[in-house]
Amino acid sequence: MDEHAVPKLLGADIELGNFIEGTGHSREGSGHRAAGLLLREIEGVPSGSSPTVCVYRHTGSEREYRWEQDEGDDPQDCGRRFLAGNGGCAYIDLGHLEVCTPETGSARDHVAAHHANLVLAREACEAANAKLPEGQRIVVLANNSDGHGNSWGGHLSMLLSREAYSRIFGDVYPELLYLAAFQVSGIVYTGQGKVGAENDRPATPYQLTQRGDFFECLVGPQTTHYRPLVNARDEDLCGGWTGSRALARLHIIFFDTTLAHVATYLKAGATQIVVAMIEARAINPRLILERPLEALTLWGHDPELEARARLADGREVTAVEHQLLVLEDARRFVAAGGAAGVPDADAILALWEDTLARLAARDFDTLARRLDWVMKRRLLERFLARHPRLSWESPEVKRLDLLFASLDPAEGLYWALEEAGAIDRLVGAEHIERLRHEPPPDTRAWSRAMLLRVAGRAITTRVDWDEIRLGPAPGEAHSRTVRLHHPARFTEDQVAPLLAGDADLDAWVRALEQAGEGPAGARSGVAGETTPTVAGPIRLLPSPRHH
Amino acid sequence: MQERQRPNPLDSLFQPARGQPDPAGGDRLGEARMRLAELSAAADRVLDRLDLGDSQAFLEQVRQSGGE
Repeated sequence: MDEHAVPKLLGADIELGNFIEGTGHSREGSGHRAAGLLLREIEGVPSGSSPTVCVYRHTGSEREYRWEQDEGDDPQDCGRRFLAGNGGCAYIDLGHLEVCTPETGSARDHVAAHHANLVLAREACEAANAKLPEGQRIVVLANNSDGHGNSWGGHLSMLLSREAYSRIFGDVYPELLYLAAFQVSGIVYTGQGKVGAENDRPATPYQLTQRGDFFECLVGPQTTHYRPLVNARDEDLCGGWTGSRALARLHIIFFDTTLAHVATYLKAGATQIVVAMIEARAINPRLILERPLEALTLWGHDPELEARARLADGREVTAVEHQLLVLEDARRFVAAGGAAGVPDADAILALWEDTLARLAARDFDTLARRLDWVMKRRLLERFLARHPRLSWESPEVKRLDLLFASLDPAEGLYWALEEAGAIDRLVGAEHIERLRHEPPPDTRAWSRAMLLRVAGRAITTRVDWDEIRLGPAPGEAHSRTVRLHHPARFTEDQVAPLLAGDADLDAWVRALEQAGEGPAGARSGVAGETTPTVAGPIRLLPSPRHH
Repeated sequence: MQERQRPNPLDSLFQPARGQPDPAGGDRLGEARMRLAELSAAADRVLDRLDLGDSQAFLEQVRQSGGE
């Protein structure tokens, strides 16, 4: 066991499609207004970085509202508020509601936190719809594309060492190319599936991913245009230059938003292991793809999983074969004790291997319970078989593609399958409910949420992932800043013993200062401070009748 | 001597369906496959109740801005 391993903490930014049905249609759509109405229903402590934002003023015209920004506001970060419930946050990004999970230690907690935030968005949608005039309704989609050439993200963040981060984005980058190749072939389990092609890609009836058509280069810091397979945005959220320079955050913009538990689990868990391999210099450069962008279209547009792409060593492999080769290396790496920073690595490997074996055997019966793109394809094929007049190009089929991910349980196809017991679940409703209202206890999200509860909106003047500024309160000359720089510190196990029963704000500040003391960084024995909440093998749970 | 059958390690990942006894031999994977029939029935139920009337109008209203 490597006690110096950086815990591969996880986070997700879930950007949602949102629009208002019943208001007619316009070139710019109703997304901005819908996002504002949704965010209004989410209670939280304002981050303080964008205090006056997302103003929708009634104009009296048919469109009723106009999107306006106050000077200095960032349209990609409007109205951000942190949640005193689970420690995550919500805001508006370019007209989309975005809900961010709190930091989690395990892939399993990640699945629960992901679904907890979807519940949060669904509840906001129901509350907002109750206030809309009759005939209007907000629809929220947990997908990544509108079919009109517009895409939005479902980003995965991961803690890793600064040294590994620097190697990924260094001058010679086998690590970057390896990560790109892993992501690209990983669409066989991370894709949500989509009807048709966009962004001038070749026409196809059905493809594996929502996002694949939108990637146009290998690496870059940008996210809204000329999207890179590997995003180089270097925001560590660990205190920056004043914090630990031993840590970094990998901001992965490649993946689709998924709803299936197994797909979401493998997306997070397999990536945790691969990033740990990169950190340990344990990658196999022979598995780099010769042309990863071309491979993405080849593999993504081939739901029969037969297309082959060329590796750097000249072999031509299918996406599943490529994943099996990565898995083989991952197995050896984990067996050698390399994945100390990844909770439940053996369970991740077991499910990864079993799912790939079923993909290789085209066992789509089983996979329809596990992978979004397979279950969506099954649904649409069944629909087409019952309606022979329709084709993949029919608007009804595209509508069903979009409704697969609607958060409304009355029309969201995924939720109907879950309700019917047709989805393999890894986390139960109670786990999701807990992370809807409570923070993960094994990351700094616990201290963030608790401090926000104690301090409240009146005292909190600024909140970010890695620090909270308090006051100055009446009668005080200065504000105080509580630093939560290390994501794996400030856990419940670490901080709670430092507090007496009814601790006041001062006691919390002192405890958090104490918890943050000591040598900073990945090599300070922080792995020993983390307490994974999930031990032992994962278990697939029966689907609930009532969710 | 008869070789003892090794348990499938993946079976420990699965749980039997709610309210159902553990399947004979602990074959939860097999039991999960049997439940696949439910997928088709669920799909039909939801597809039947959806009104897909003016889908073209729906698709026009979906239009979003690019995100991220």
